[in-house]
Amino acid sequence: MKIRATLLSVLAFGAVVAVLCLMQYTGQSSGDASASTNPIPADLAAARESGPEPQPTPVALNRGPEVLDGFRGDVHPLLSGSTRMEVSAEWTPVSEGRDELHRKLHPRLYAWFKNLQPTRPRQTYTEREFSAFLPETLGEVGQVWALDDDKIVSMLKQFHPRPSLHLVAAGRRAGPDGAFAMLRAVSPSYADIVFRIHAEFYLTPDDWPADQPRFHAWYTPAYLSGRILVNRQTGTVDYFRMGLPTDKALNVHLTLVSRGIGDVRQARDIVRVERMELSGGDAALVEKISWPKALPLAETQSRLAKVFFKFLEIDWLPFDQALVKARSLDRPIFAVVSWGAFEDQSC
Amino acid sequence: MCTAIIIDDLQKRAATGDELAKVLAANWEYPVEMMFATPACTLVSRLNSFKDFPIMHPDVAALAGEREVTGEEEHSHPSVFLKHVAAHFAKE
Repeated sequence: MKIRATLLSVLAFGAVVAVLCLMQYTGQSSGDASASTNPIPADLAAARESGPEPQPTPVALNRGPEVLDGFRGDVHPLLSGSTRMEVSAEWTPVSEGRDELHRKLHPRLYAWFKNLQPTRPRQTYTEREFSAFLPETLGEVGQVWALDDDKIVSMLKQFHPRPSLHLVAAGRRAGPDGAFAMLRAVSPSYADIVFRIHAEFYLTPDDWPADQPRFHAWYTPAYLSGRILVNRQTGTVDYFRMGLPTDKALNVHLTLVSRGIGDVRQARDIVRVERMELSGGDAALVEKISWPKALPLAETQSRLAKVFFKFLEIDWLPFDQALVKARSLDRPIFAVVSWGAFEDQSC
Repeated sequence: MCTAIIIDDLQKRAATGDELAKVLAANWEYPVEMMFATPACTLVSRLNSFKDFPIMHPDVAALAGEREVTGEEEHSHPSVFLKHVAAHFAKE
């Protein structure tokens, strides 16, 4: 009995040491809690080891009753022609983040974030896959609908084999989950659809050794936005793009959680990725088409964002306009300055 | 007038001489600072998410479900924010 207890103690100690070595725990530094790893009481961690993974409660969507589900069938009637579009994937490496995850993690673990490459640099999609982006019935400009999550996840596998539209990366407010589209413009010949997707990629390799401490790694883009141009005369998709926005300095959240025996730790960072994109077809086409009915792209994106976040119904001004407006109306300025953006998934 | 910006972008603006950005960047503390300023770019008051909002959501900075949300209503985030606004901007 005594030998067994000793062996268990040695095993537990070894697991903790392994986690510490791989995550290179440096303790709390300079008041930067986001960069810290957070040990929790051993009894809590131990109790969780054999139970299900804890799941965060996602922030609620701001989806109104007018936002219906989109098309859920096999091939949308609008796509009556034959589409065979080769879509290219580009995915540039993560930058070194402010929380210096690249210094704190063992290179073997950091490589999960650093060495990401598209699963398939090129893939051909047909009307079947693109049907996921269409509404049940095409309505007026400004119409909003929910995309077919399962089909979207399938397309995201061109980046990585384990995407999800249900965000679970630990230690942060998750969600809102979802994928929505808006009809931005229509002409007799074309329909221009803009969409926004909240997605996450689970990076822990399938072949991580079972005798090693458990690490869970997630790569969470701020969001993925894009557009799809449907040729209503030929019944084909003529242009498609889905990509990570780069308007803010930082646009991806990295999370790593370890669950050793009696020890749970987290490490995280917010980084910039220059390009994460799927694209195919004729990008110049959008500018060539005359649109009798259209919304500006910025307004479309803003309205789509409000389907996710209720607080965006407040009239937020772009920073470069706030001072001018405040002076013209002689009103005070309320400015929220944050470590990471709160109107997307990067923070 | 409401606006929001991440600190990286704010600091870049401050470095180019943006008047409002300089004031806000000089008064910013990790991780979220809510600041009120006059149109003349004078800081009126501020609230820090760590210092002024004592209740933390259980999903944040810990494993989900690890901590309970506890706290009196008077310390809830809306209550703290509204009291702050009233203290600085309410008319007599």
